[in-house]
Amino acid sequence: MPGQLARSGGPGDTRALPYLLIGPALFAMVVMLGWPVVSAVVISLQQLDLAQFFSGETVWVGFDNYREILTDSFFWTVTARTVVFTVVNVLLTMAVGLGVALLLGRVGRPLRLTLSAVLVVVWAIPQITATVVFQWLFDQQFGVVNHVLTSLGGDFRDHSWFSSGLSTFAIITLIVVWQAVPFVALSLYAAMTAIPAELREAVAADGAGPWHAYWAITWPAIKSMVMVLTFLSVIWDFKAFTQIYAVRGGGPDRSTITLSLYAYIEGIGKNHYGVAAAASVVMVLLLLGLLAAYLRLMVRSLDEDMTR
Amino acid sequence: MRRSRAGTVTINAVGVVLICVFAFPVYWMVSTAFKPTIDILGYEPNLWPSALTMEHFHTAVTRPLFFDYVRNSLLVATSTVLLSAAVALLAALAVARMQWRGRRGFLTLVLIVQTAPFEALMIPMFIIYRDLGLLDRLPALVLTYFIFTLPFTVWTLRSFVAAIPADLEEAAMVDGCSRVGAYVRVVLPLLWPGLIATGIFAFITAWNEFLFALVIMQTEDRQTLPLWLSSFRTAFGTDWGGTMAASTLFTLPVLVFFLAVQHKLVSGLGAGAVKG
Amino acid sequence: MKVRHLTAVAAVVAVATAACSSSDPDEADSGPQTLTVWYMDGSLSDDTAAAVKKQFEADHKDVTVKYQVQTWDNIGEKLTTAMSSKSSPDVVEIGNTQVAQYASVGALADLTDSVGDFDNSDSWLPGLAEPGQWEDATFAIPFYAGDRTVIYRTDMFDKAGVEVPTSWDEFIALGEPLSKAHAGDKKFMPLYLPGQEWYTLASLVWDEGGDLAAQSGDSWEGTLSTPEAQAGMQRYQEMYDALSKAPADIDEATPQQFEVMAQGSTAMMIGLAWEKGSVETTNTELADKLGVFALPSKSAGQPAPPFVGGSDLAVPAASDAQQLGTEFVQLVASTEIQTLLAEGGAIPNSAALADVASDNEVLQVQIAAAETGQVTPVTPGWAAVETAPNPIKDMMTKVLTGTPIPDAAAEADKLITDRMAG
Repeated sequence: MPGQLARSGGPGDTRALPYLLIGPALFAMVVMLGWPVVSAVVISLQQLDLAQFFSGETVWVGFDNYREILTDSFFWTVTARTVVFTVVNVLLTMAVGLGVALLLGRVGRPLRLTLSAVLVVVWAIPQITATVVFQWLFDQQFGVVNHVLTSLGGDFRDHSWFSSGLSTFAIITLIVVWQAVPFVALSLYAAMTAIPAELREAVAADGAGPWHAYWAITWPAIKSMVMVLTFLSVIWDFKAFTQIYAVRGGGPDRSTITLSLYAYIEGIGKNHYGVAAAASVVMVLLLLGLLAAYLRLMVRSLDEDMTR
Repeated sequence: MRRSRAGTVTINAVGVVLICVFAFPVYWMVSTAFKPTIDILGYEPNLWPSALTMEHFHTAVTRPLFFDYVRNSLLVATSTVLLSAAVALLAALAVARMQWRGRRGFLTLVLIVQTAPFEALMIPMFIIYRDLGLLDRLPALVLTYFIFTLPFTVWTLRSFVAAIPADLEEAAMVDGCSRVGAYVRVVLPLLWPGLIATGIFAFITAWNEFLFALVIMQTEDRQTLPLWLSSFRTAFGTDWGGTMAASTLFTLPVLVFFLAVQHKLVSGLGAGAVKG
Repeated sequence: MKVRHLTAVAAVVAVATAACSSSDPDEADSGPQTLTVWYMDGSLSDDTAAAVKKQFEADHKDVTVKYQVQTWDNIGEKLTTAMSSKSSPDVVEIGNTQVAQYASVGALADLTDSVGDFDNSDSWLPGLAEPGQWEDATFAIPFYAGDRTVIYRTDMFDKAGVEVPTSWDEFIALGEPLSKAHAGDKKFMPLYLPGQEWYTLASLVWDEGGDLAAQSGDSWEGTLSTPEAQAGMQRYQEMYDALSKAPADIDEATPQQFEVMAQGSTAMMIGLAWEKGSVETTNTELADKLGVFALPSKSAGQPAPPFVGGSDLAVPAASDAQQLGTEFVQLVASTEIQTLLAEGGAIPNSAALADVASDNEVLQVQIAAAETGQVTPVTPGWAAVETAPNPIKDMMTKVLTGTPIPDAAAEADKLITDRMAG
């Protein structure tokens, strides 16, 4: 590859170069990922239960799996719930993440190092462990939170944080946001480090206020990163599974079942892999539907970069 | 930028508070790992462990095959980081620096691929690997994680490459560098923060993944650390001390990796730019 | 007999046509071989596992036994995928309530013809043997069982001047004297019973003559609304209200009950044999202060039929060493190895072995109860009911927090029926 780069030769080479460069990535996405995706779509049109899984038999059922999901009124309750959950979590994650990133750029060096090390650790903790720790901090009988709140004067003895869907969702959101902020904050901070020092100095020399400086320098530098992080957060929170399932298995009384849990319970839990595949196809389509406008915006914003 | 002293103090104070808020659950995890089992649950929770024990760490590292798991995990995670950085960097250069037909389509594809529900691809991928005879092979795991991490890595590195003014390379080339030399000396240093951010992302993704590792790797001594971690959870409940000790050990390599490369990331705003 | 034969033929055909099992079972019998055996973490002690391996390898020249210890997390996915691949294990341990889903789809080898060769096969515990049956053929062999009994603090009973109860009413009446005697301890509760301990609910439902689900025609439906099942739920509520202060919305796994009892403020819990041991090792002060008795039935002097948990052993249909696998299962199910298991504290697979480990008081109580014990409905659809969120658990929390039993039971039935229909 470097050889290709080095040759500044004829126009033929230059034309082929970008395709050579994207070749491996394209192969990975189209073949290595495309194949299982296509096969998932194919499975979604089949009845693939344990029996077929073991016998290798193929049973086509057309759109039955989709019909089963789309005609279930609970599915639509769950979809609406998942959208709200996603919006709340993404907004919180991005707001806190941006705040932390800006802070990282302004605190002293030792604090910056400590804070980023803490963030990396938080990010690296396995989701299931994070969930267990929080579950336990908020435990009804043995939790530190109840203990501390009670000793601060409230009556939180034997308070259950998981007795209602809303309260359970609040704890889940706390876990999700706590673990998602580090990625956002560190990525944004990394993007900010790409701002040339001269530019900062120039704006500072103009005597611009912090807001002006932010809009003039920082925002343009991190804008495309903010967009991609928001995009990723939407995808991840929409599909969040581990934390929600581990906290209360979708309880109390099924009130925290989101789409990914629904797909798991109806598909894997019942050993209906066809239904599971159909559910994930529906999920991806919903996600792409929600993100279509945003996606177009992101691709378009790249052309600004090119002409800059 | 000049700031008032009060402003600096306030900002640092906010920093300290943030550290505490983010670190408390981590502290709880680590301190629990050192508590004797009877102190782990308590009607009056102790913020400071009253007695310390290494018992849980001992249990954790003396699990059979622990060191095989460590070796496999390190191998898989670092291979994923390298593979994904190399492939993504090439694509990022093409996308950020060149105009070509299909560029938009390629970028749209990268974004769409990101929405793929990997958990849901478990069964189809298993069937494909089974038919290709790839089960129980570490490279199969590396390829899987590589695909998981590729889109984000391409997209992020693209924005880092794009942020580097093109005239910088040209200036370097005028100075007599070859094109490759220009990239290595001028562009690469500016890309470090991006490579590190995406590298940590790829490392953590590969390091933490459980379900594919469980299903694809069938022989015990070819499995990875998340399976070891899960051995502290049984049908009857979670061994909290063991889980916390194991999670503490599990998180350490990521911290070490970060500390080893942090100077390239944390050296300060603007420090990495335009020194060439 | 004809039916059995047909099933066997069907199984053979299924095996032969499966993409994953092209190898001929017969060719496996020559040359050095490896027999891959999966068991769950904690099922076999290291010593027992080593003893089994040693004996099997001595009996079979050229065969090496290779153990793969499995953890519980996502074990369903792991079993399903592994048993469908070329590298399928040759012997697997499967939870007794999970066997039916694999037996019914041809994933397991039909062992019917060799059942007679197994030790004690006429006296296997029904709670383990029934789940191994599918359409009159045998696909899985009883491995070991576990059931729950009341584990109590002898010192606390002495202090309150109460005896081990022999009837349900005596059991419920323990609350007052125990609480009075320990009034100084604000955290004291007579019985640690979390609201979602559905194994004990099942036990009470069976004690009343009800069941969790029943077959009607081709399908299954939830039967928690039957008067018998409702009576069982009512007794659970009575027990919870009278004896427990544990949260209504958690199960016995988080936190683990033994950790709570080890705190020293609990007089009783309903648990498995190893949980008693765990209380003792966690809090050594309690080492000589724990006893066990069976949860009383509504008929005085008898235990309520417990939920029989445990495991079966099976040979995957995709295994290329089915004969050897079967022989390995025979060894583990033999009187000799079962005695070793019992000495380690597990309930052996047969009533005929009730006398082994006669010095183990806990085990004796549990073995006695296990003979009357029952198991969840033997049908492939049942596993889906146990997938979280388990509708039975939700019903329990609702009842304990004020919803009338008929309403909560009706809703649970609807969900159970839906889950079992697949």
